[in-house]
Amino acid sequence: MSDPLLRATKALKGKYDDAAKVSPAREEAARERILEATNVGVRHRRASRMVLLPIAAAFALLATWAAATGALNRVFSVEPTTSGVETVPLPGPGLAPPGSVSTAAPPAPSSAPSAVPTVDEPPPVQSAPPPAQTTSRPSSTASAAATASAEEERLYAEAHRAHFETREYPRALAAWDAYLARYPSGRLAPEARYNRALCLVRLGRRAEAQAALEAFARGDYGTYRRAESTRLLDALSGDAAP
Amino acid sequence: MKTTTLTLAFLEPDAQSLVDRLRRQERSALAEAYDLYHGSVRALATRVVGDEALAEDLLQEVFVALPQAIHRFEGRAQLKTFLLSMVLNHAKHYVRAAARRRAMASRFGREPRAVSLDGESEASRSEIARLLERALDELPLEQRAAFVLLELEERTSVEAAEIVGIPEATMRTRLFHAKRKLRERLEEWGMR
Repeated sequence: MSDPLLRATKALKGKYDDAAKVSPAREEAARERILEATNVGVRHRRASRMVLLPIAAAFALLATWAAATGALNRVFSVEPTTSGVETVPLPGPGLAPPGSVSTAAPPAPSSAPSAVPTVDEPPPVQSAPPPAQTTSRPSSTASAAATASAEEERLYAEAHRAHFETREYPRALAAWDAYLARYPSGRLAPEARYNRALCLVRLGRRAEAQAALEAFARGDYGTYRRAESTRLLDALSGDAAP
Repeated sequence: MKTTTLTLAFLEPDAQSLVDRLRRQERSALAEAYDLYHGSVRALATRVVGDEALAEDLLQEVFVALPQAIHRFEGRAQLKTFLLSMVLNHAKHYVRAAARRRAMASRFGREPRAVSLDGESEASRSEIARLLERALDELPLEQRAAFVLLELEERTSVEAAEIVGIPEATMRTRLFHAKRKLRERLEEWGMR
């Protein structure tokens, strides 16, 4: 046997063969240790389940309660940061612009009736439209408003400010026109058209106001501001009657 | 699941029953598996690790892990083969610890030295075995496993490949490289 590796392998094999021969007592001891360790493992897993499951159940219940009561929304909600249409406060009673309930539409000033410069004060606008009607506005418009481009929002906000904050109706009318000229199919175009019609009412441009409102009353924009427009038209017609 | 069931059908009825009971976490099944296979598992653990105490720890770790590991057993091999593959999969830490222990013993005790060629005396065989152990410590684990399975346990390359879960040719290649390195090392240490 000249190969040193063969000799070494034989020697090591002999050594390990001897080492692997263990007494029955040692075999039995190892067997007991294994079975005991397995039992401990099972007990640990059971104990973990007994602790973790109630915690998980309590957490799930808490999350469900928070979601149901709105607490979760209050914790995770983010305030709007832009001055876009969604941040506009809800309007008070009076000349109701579109979105008096919806968050995507501008509000009307609470003292709007007294601000009507010239002609007859439009009676219908004294009574705010019922909420059920105002909420019938197409929801797609609201979601679209949230993603309106910055420029579109800027133009809309400028008109809105002149209309509902400074109440400069001639300037507001020009601003609504500017918005609609730039974005005739803009995401806030229906609101802008309705507000423009209100400006015309305020400015006493009755024929133009009626023409503008008729589109809403006909349902060209679905149910959006349809009821309010009908009432306004009735009021304008009544005022026009002798 | 269907494949597993079909393959298990080729096992011996008793073995299949044992696997089923192990999957149901039956304590008696684990005891039975130990009684059946502890000899083979202990022998391989001892040969791979090269340290009796650590090999005993490895044996215990393998059997304790068996009730969970059995869910990965697909029945394509025998349960014994599965257990031996578990030994190799769990051996890394133990081999490293044993190698550190041997290296430390060498540093503070005997250094490898030239061994007489007679090799017939007990002292000579013991010294030769110790040199081979140290040479094995320098091999990557997969080459070490190949040497242990094929040379020390004298398994066929088919069996060894099945235990390790690699192609037979790869197993032979690993053995070739292992033996080349071991020879070089033994010659460096004066074995002729």
